[in-house]
Amino acid sequence: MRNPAAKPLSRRSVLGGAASAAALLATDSLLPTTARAGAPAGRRAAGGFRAGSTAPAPVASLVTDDPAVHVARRLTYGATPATVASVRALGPAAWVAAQLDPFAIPDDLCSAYLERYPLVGLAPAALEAAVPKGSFEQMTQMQSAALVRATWSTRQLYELVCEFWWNHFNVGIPNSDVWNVAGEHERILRDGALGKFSDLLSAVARSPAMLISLNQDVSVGSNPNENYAREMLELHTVGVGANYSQQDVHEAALLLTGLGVAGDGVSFAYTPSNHYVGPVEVMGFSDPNASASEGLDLVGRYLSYLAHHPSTAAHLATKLATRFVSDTPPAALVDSLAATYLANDTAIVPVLEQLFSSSAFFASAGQKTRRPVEQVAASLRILDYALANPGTSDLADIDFCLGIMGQAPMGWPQPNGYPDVASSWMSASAAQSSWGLHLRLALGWWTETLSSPGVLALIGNPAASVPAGDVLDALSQRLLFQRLAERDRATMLGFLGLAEADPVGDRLSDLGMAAKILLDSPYFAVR
Amino acid sequence: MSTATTSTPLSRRALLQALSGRGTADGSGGDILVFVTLWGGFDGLTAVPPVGDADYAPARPTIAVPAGSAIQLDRLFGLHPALAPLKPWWDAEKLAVVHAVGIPYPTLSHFQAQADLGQAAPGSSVKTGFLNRMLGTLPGSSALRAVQIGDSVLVASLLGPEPVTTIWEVGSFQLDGVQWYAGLPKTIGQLYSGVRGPCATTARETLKACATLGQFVGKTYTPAEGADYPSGELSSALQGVAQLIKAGVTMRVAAVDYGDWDFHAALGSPEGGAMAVMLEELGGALAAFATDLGPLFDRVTIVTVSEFGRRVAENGSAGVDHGHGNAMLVLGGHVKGGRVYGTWPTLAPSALDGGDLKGTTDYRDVLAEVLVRRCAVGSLSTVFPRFTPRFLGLA
Repeated sequence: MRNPAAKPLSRRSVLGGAASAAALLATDSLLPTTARAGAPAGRRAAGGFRAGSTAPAPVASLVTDDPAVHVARRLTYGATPATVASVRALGPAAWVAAQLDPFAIPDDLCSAYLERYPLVGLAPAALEAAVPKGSFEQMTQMQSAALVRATWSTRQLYELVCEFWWNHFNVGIPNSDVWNVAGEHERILRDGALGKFSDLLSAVARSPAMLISLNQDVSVGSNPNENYAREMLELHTVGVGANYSQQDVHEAALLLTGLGVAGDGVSFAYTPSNHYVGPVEVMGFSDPNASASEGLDLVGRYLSYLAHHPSTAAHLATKLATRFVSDTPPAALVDSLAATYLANDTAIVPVLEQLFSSSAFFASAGQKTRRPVEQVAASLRILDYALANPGTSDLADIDFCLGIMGQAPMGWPQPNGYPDVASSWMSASAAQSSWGLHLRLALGWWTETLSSPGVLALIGNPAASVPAGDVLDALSQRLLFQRLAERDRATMLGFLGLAEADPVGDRLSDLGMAAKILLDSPYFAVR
Repeated sequence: MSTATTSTPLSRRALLQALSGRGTADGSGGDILVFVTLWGGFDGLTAVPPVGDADYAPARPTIAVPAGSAIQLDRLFGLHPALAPLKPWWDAEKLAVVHAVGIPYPTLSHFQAQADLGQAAPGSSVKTGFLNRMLGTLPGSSALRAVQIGDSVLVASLLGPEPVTTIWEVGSFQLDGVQWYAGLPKTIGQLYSGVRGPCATTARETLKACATLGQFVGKTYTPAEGADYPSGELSSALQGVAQLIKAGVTMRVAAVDYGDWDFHAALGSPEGGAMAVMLEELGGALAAFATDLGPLFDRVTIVTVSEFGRRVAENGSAGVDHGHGNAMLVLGGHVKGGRVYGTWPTLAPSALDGGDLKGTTDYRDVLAEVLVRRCAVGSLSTVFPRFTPRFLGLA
């Protein structure tokens, strides 16, 4: 999991039991409210659910279940008016289909922003020519670029899927061991994100960053290192619940010997003299493995076997459903996704199409809690922020906040990737940081690197004579795509110190703070 | 070695309360548990090497700590030289080591082992963390009764329904904007009132933490004279804990974690290397924390845990792969220290468990004793379900 020569990462992290504990905590998703049951489809009555009841209501019951808003929120890093309009115009299925063909979507603004991060995408040789040996610069640019893409790319779903795969095949950065190959790892994942999983698994097994970070580069037949073999089974393919033994791990490590990194330190190499020769058997896969020269073919067959294993199908289906539906996804959904995966020779797109057209998906509005990256990107997106000052590449302030919040892009130091369930992210640190960020963004205090039209412009610069209730509704529609529940409307009017029908008057100057409070609210905390 | 059999007044009271099945009425009784997670698989055989075991050095030809370099603890065990700052606490009988500790149903998966360790309920369907369940048995509901300092992502042992507050840095935790709008906490609180779910719980804890921690904002923390914290994240986190304790915040648990100890390769030699660098911070930070607290250290017990130990034999990369039996450190004002507890199974090839040091003491034995004797926990039946602890006499 670690390579000891690595410079220590800047944060401490440990995950345990998160997925299994999710069921205990994320009960939002499971309890339909009477208000919802009685509401017309797509128009959940706001405000009724808490009236006359002292029992706390799930946060999800606050949030609109308008399918266009749900799709635009869940399948992006944060809904915007344009995304919602696009989903409405095309219909969810056509919108998803277009997003799953990402390179047909123009992405000029994001491409232009990415020019500020010239090291992103540089192949190892070009990188080594461009920066001093051991430089962290490409890795930090990759982290900033990840936030840029999340915020400004039009290929939102593709970016979410790429992030999913990065975490599935996680190599935490920055890490000095992979300073010159982390970019290559990202390229491999982005190239294969919407292909077949079997191809992706095979490509990752040739990613020097993966081989180095999990010590495969020092594993030889006479003395195998089990790190990659174990994590491949546990994290990348069949999952920890699958029925494999320590003997399976050991033989898998023997089977994989020979995979490694060439003398240049940045290229994949298969070295027959490092390969163990002799019969191997792992989870029902067996091979005489008689010749070192054919070891790479053997590895290919083994990876294909694992990719097509029913446990891998179930593992991937569970993770995708957890990412896109609920912390506790319905078993029937997982089963059907796994079946689709196997029926399509491990192709990823059919699984996603099925997932995003499932009734479970459409019934899950507001059931996922935003993690820090989603919280930050959604805030930038909803406030219509742009990168200011051509030539500026500095998102360091926000990157720093994300570190405090526990989710620096690609920064999780363990190979299992960031946790994806709310129970692991019940963090006062993250909430305090994101509330602080909302303040600075809503009030436009970040002018050196970011620019926004400002909150008043977002709602068409209302006149002072407009009633406070109307201004508040316009603001919540613009930021949250819904009217607030009645009690929350009253709270916000109380903040403005105005009655519903009062002209908003000079309290227009407080709308930045009102916007900040709406972004802090439960309506914006979930997706 | 301490052979004391009588308790101090405080611990006797705690014990009596524990036996009567309740904690103190105001929730302030008992020690603050400082729970240090050494994630990644801490190599107890390097930290507290069994230099007197004839099979130790041969199993680790390039990485074993030589008997001559180790700080002698007893006839069998030494302390890694990088842990020298802890030696005075050993000599003062405040530091105990438990060796050959295992978790039941060992797995060699980091993530499974971390989950198992945190849940501490093998063979059951309980998926909450044991520290969270412990909080559920204790009276009181004050803000910050359970904190995790440093990391924003909760460790497994703290997951569950009892609120836990993560604090990135004690001195900078405030509700931005309250300077201009004093009603901000109330307004945000109202928007979260009457709703439930992870984000609502978090919001309420955040507001409480902001209210309590406001007193520290903008003030530089100066450790007590003589407390020399090394630089690093563990030190920062422990200084935050010290700051809260000194301010009288009613904490029951403070969790910090420190890693990554996963030395599959290039673990290093006793004179230096990657693990020694981390041990230096570990020992230095724990010793400085204990010094910094002064008399308040009497109200604190520190326990270190890791998801598993490392294999006995060194691998081909001068590292050690995932193993089983491990060492735990227990440090506190009322710990009966200066002694290595546990039953040493030896490193003889026939005594190993698939190449690993056997776990002869269940880690729950150590924690259970600390919780009952030091932390005023009454009933262990929900904390460690279906488990009858065997106290070692260390607390």
